[in-house]
Amino acid sequence: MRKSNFRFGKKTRTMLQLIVLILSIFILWSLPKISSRFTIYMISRIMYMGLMTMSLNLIMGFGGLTSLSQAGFAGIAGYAFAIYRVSMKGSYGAAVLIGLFVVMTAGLLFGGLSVRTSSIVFMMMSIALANLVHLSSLQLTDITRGFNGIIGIKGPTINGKTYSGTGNTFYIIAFIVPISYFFLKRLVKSPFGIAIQGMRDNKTKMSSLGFNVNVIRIVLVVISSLFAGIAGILQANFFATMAPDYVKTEYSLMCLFMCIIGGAEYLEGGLLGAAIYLMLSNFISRYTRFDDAIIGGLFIIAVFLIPNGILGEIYKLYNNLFRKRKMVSLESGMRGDVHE
Amino acid sequence: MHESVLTLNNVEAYYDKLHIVQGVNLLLDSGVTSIIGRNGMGKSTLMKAIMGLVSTKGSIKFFGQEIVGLKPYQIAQKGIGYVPQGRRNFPSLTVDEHLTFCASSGFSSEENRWSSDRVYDLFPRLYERKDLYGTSLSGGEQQMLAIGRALVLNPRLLLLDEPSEGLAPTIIDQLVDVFEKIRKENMNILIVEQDLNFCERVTDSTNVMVNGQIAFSGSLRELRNNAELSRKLLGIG
Amino acid sequence: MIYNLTLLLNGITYAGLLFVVASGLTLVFGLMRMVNMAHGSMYILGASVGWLLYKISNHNWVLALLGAGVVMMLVAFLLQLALYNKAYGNPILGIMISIGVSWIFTDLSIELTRGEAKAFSPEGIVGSTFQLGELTYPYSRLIVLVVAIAELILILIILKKTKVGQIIRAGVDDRDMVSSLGINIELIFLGVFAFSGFLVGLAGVLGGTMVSFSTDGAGSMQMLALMVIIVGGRGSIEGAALAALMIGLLDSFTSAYVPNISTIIVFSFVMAVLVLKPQGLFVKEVRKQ
Repeated sequence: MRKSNFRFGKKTRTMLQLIVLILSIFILWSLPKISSRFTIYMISRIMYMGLMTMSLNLIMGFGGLTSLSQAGFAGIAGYAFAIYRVSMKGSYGAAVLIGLFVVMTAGLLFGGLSVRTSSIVFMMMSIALANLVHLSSLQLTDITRGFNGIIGIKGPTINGKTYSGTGNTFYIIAFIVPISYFFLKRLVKSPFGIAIQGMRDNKTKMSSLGFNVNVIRIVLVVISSLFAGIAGILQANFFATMAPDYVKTEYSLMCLFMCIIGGAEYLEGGLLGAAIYLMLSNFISRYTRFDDAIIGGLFIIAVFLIPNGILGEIYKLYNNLFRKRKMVSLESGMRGDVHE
Repeated sequence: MHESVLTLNNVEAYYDKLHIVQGVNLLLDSGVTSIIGRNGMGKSTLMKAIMGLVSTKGSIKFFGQEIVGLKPYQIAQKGIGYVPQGRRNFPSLTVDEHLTFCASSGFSSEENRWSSDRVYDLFPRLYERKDLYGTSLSGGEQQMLAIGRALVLNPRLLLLDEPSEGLAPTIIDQLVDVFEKIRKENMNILIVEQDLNFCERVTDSTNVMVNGQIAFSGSLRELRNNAELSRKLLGIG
Repeated sequence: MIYNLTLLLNGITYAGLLFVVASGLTLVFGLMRMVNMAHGSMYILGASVGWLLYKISNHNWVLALLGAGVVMMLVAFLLQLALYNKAYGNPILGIMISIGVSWIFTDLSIELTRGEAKAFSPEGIVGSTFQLGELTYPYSRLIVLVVAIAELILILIILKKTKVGQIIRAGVDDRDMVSSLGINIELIFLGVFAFSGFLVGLAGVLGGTMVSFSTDGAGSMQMLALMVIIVGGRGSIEGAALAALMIGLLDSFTSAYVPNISTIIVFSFVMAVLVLKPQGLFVKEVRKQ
């Protein structure tokens, strides 16, 4: 009797994924009826910060480029969106498109400038970018309204009802984030996803195989900035505010923490890391004011003990168990044993 | 019992996670010996393994003392003078500083001690350029500097990785003389080389490295006279 | 005229502060290939510790200054011994560890200062001003400049004339080779990092006297220090001095004349250096490792 590998066809898999996607959105949308306001609040934050972290998973875990500017890109999109929506009184849809357009342009510019740099220099440039965004938000008071920021950001108006604020934005977040995750998941399994992993592992080999590493890298930065930007717009919707405090460089560093804790090389690690960070800091801050210090300490321990993140260690464990079984089958197969 | 200078047992070494040295067994006696082989066979990585610069498994005994797992500076302090491939002189130090900043009385007696003065005697050209920075010298001078830098450690073994690489024939002649002079002072020398002509002039004792392992140990002259073996191990002949 | 002279002096003295902060960082980066992302938080922690000593000693400024330096030197020593040395050869790991450390130090600083901005305003010379023609200028800023220049001279003497200096110079070039020549490079790392801690502690009190300090400032000081070593070149003390001067003057004049875009100008300058000359403006030779 042969051990058959139960594999779905490609089309079937895509259909199944779409069904799971639609189901999860419906499940999420029904949560407000059964959960507390606080739970919905936390889930919202986990989702959009998870999305911001997933953009880091993409560029760092899959692409091998350490970036400390995700909050910067989120801020660029968030501010562009907020400025058009509030200061220029534009429509929601247009504001979103403008926000995304601006951030992708910034990503293109940044990607182009940094295209030939080493990973350390790239990281430094990303730190510079994050700081630039933060300080610009403080200094360009004419357009960003300085320290107090832009307030009163309204959500979309659908069928006469405007969905603004932490309660209502949940529905938008619960719609956009799963879809984004769906796209990112398909992206990393696509030829592009394979290419960036190849670039991460062996750049020279990729070049010699005929891949234009420079173009791949720029596209990676743009896509990463896009999803960070989406997260930034969602956050601006959520708090109905866009202010310099939301683009502090600390947030980009928190992003790194969430990415590493969850598992840099797994997209889901971004969501897991965001969940862990938000719940942990919420929990810890109830008992002590040293919450940042404890998280800092945990980060250091995590980097030594679980460098692949929680998901990484789980997969490693799984592989160790799974592979052992596989090898035994091979041996017994060679001996002529019948094996189920 | 007479101790060999270097005894390698089942040595494996990794460079950038690649398994380069795949089980080397070697016994090196005093005097001048060589390790030869084509490009990419693992000779340089083996040198780095001895110096503790790459991840290494197995056993390497230097005058009976185990050195696998030691840090490079501890291995150097045990009496190995390393002259790496490409010389690796310091652009920020002058020639004179190269010969003084790491100088040590090492393992030589007072009469035989290598000081910067004695190195200048051996390499007069270096004395003329003693205030120039380490990488402002010609290829040949840089090689002399790298050798001098290892000598002032007063080691028991000189390790040279491709010393003749990129040097003009006249300089190579000088190098042969230098090796003769050093050898006469009872310095043990291990040379890794691709240039067989140069190697022949310096020593007859050789070990051939093929695909990360030692495939032949013995007389270089006999090897070269054996056309078939030469072709198989070295790809020439 | 006086206005521009003030701006000039402000730029130069600010450059002095930046140099004291960044000089340690560039040596650490050059020698150990480690970008200490906790450097800014160490600056603030130094200032906070100095503030504690200042209060306890009834406003003894010199004690605060030297005490902050010594405490941060010990902190740096322990940090290198226990944590940072494990990041040898792994720059990304070092960055991540130091990020975690920076969060711990920031919380400690908040604890020491109760999260409020503080400034050292001692009586006596340090707190007073002097006359330069028609210009009245604070002594505190002059002291920072004097300390910076003294430090520059001291480090250059050590680097050029002493054996340790030679080892450090060689180590910045090729630390594996230095180790292969029998020199315990890890001991040197320990010393250099401890020294960088001393400098950053000193700088914290100096900066807190010259202007003020608050725990929010850790991030921007980190960024400024990084900018200086980016522009000046990895491991180059002279480069750090010149870069500090450039950035100090640029910042001073643009803040005064074009305040809305002064940050953008300074950052664009640094970005340009990163793109066009990533090894820094003042490094003579790039050694491929």
